[in-house]
Amino acid sequence: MKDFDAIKDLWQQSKPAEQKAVDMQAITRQSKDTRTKLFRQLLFGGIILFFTVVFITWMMYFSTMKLTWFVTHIAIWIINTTVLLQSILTLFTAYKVSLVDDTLPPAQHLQQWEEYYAFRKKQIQWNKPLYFFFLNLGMGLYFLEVVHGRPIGYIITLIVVYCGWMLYAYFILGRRILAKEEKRLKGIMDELKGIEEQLKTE
Amino acid sequence: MRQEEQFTELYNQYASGIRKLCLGYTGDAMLAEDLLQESFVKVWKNMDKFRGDAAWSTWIYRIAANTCLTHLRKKNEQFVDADEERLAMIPDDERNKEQEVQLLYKCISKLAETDRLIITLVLEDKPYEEIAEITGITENNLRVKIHRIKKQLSEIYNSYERL
Repeated sequence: MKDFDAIKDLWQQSKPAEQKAVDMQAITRQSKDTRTKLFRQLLFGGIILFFTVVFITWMMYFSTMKLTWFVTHIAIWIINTTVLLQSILTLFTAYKVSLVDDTLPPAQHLQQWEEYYAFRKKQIQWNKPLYFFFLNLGMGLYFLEVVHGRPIGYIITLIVVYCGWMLYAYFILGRRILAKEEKRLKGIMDELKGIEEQLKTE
Repeated sequence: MRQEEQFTELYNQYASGIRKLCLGYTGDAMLAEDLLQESFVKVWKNMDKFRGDAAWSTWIYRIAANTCLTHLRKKNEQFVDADEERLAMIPDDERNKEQEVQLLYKCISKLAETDRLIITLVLEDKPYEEIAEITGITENNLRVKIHRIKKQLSEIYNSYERL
């Protein structure tokens, strides 16, 4: 029959496996935790949007493309401003994720995720429709010169393909991506709530 | 001191204790090694966030504990394995020290998730103040919990010893 002190002696005398030398290469390799995944996804999205602006500007003003209508220039500025603002917002969201400190005790860690979740939910509510509206306003104006003088069949095909893609992106693809993100966030929060529950006073 | 040098120093100083903590959580040497590695990845990545408000040991143990707890929540693992039965079958006089230690890890892994963390820190002789800081619970609550967990662990261990 062992009392707790005997158990403690046993624990303190134990030498679990041999101490391996630290593997710096393995340590510095990126870990695959949820926070890193979310951060990378947002960072990548923000960068892609920024380069989209660069590409559109190059295409419009430095390539051989010749679009001369005043309204087309307005359209390009609407698209560029919308995408650039979205890029900044996405990078800011990535920054918010990077601030989450998983080295804090579970209660504070949970609070950080809850704050981020509330922020993100609020952001999506206004950001998604606004982005969709302005992007399509710009694209609509841009198409005016592009389709000018083209056969009616070409115009209808372009409208059908473009609208089809936009509706798919907004209602299916966008929702799917956001649902995945929400699932990840809720997963983290549920884990932390479970831990928090256990740590509460009994 | 360069970050790499400081990290190596921290690793050499705390890896053994963290490995035991992970073993207490999982009862599985391979998994414990993975969790140890994952914990030190987080230490490396977050070293610039360390403000010195707590001791390095508190900070590192907290990271390791969070890593182990999150892992367990994800896997929702119930520890059942053949080793347990095998160990229980070994008569007392044949059970050497190493087997007793293995049995202890397995007994700890039978406790509730957060109880494993608390008892591991108690076994490591961490002061109550530091344990409270790592777990984020008050010292008064902690004393009550520790008393209960000690009793529970002794009972589990002795129940295996009797087999």
